[in-house]
Amino acid sequence: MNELFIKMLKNSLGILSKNFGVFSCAFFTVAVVYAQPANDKEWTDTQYPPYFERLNYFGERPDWSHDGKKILFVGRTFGDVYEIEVATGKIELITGHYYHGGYSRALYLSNGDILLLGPKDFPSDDWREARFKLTELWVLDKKLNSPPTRLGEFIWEGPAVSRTQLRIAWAEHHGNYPDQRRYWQIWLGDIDYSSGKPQIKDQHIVLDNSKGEIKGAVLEPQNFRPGNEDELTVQSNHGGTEVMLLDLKNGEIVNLSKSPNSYDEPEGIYPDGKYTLVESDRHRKTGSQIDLYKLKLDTSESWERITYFNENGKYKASNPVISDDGKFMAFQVPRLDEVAGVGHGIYILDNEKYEEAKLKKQRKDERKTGRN
Amino acid sequence: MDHLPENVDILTYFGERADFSPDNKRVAFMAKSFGDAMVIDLETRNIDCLTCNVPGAAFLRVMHLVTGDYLLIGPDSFQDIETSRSRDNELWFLSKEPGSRPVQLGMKMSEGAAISKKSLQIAFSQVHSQNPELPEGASRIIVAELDLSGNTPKLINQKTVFESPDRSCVAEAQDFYDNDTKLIFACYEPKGMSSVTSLDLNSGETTNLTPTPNVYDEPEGIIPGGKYTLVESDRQCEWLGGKRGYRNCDIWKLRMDGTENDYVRLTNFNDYVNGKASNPVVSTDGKYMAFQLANPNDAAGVGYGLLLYKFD
Repeated sequence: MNELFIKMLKNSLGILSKNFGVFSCAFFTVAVVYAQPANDKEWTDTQYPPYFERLNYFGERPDWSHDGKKILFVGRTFGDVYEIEVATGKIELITGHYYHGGYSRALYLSNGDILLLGPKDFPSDDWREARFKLTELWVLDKKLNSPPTRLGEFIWEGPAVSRTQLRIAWAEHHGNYPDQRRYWQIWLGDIDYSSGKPQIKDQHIVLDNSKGEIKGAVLEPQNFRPGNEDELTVQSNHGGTEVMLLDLKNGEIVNLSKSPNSYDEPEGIYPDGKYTLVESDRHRKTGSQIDLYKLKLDTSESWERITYFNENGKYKASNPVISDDGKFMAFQVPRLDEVAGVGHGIYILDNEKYEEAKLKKQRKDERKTGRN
Repeated sequence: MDHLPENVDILTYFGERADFSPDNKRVAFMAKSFGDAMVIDLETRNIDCLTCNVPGAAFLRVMHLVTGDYLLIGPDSFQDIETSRSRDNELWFLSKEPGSRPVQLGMKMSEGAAISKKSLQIAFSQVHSQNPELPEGASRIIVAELDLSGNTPKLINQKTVFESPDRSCVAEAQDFYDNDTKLIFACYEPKGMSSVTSLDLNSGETTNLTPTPNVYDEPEGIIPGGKYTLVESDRQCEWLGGKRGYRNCDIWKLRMDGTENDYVRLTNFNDYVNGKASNPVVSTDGKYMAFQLANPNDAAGVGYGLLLYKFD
């Protein structure tokens, strides 16, 4: 999600560079399932297997509605927010009824209201300042009859939003609050409507990067684990970018990807709570050439590569999210040279068709092996 | 929107200020005022964003040039509604090549522009807000050509073709016709009224084509052939009631002979509470009109989706 920034950060703060020598010597025994090995045909933004469908031609950072019928997305980084009806392709503008500084993300809260991320005002054309320093949290009423309510909290990159309760987690850092020098903190809070308008209450820090394995790391929460929302998937950049699981009850954090020489950023989580989607470059290990993988949420390091858009080094797949019924994945296919988060439309993977294709491929491979 | 005539089709559920491409295969539009420019393919109905690579894009209008490139209108950055729509409003060129970024043409202007369907000629107006040399209340129309021959697009051969010294007629260029020898423009009058006015670009002679006083008649797209123009008009208020002016408009078709004898209402959205239709444009083959659903309580130009009207 923010591989560009992390590169910038490595250069500017020098937090991570001392570990590079270690990475090159690392050796991993990782179980990887390749669903669709390097294809006969190149995957591009217009050419892909039939279990994918392109839903529209602009926009980025999809988020499924709870009933799976709609997808929320931003038109562009610091643009408007739209909602598309999956069955019909009908697109509605969600944030056109008032003037704003643009949004970088929009996510459904458990009550159907919309959590927006964006600056109060857009600072001329300096998107970096808007993205990394000025982005705040807002709540937009689902009735769309008023401007959003400002929650009074800055946020670093994206939040984790509970699908069952009015709870969110978000990261803050030195750029948001200068007294937090070199600190990344993850906060947890509830959204309280008792005053008549949404407010954050009971906010408290659940993780910071002051010690242990994540000392000096860039932290970003991703998802509450379905079925056990006392656990939170977290991205931690402390060497490579790793998939971490944080126990919110005792503060214990476990590294599930253990791949310091690759970029592994957790994204959408499966509704059974057993797997997470990951943006990963483990097929190239360059830091930005990402495709989508599925990682088991335990310490088995069981990976499955799902997309091959990056196979030819021109495109990547990013920002995947899974519908609440687990049947569909929404994501985007940017060009490789584009800034993290940029997209040009929403793509859908039909999991049932994908599994069928995977099985077919496996059988074909088995027959080949048998013949040989 | 649930009870549309058979010849009217919903194109989009958001957006405003439609404009047909020269080949009539696409319609460009604004997602909202001070937002992104978009384009919809009329066959596939796929929507592409033209300005999503521009941080802080805050455009008001997008129109096709004869080359298929685009003319954008809007401020460099959003300040506030009034300042950004008037003082800071300017012209931009956007190449049709994917990924292009808008290029400033260095010309502040008022509201919208007229664009030739045959050449790179455009017309636009200025008032005191954009050009302090003009006295308060005065306006003028400038015709110019877009020169795309060099590395940077520029406006050349600028010529003032109409000047109004006061608020009796504040001009806004709308459309060329008769082989680009004539221009139709809105003449905004005191008390929020407007007349459809024709300008002969050779002689400089102007003709009021809707001389009935105390009526709001704002010309929009001209129907190919140059005999008729579409008009945002409040004439239905005569029997529906409601305050006269731009807020209560529907789309009418006017024969441009100055008699007002052939003046037909095309849309009936203003029959409904909080309904009106506005900003109509006609395809170059004359078969379709694109326009928007609007609300009388909003500023002019604000829309809630585009509709396609098939002419008989």
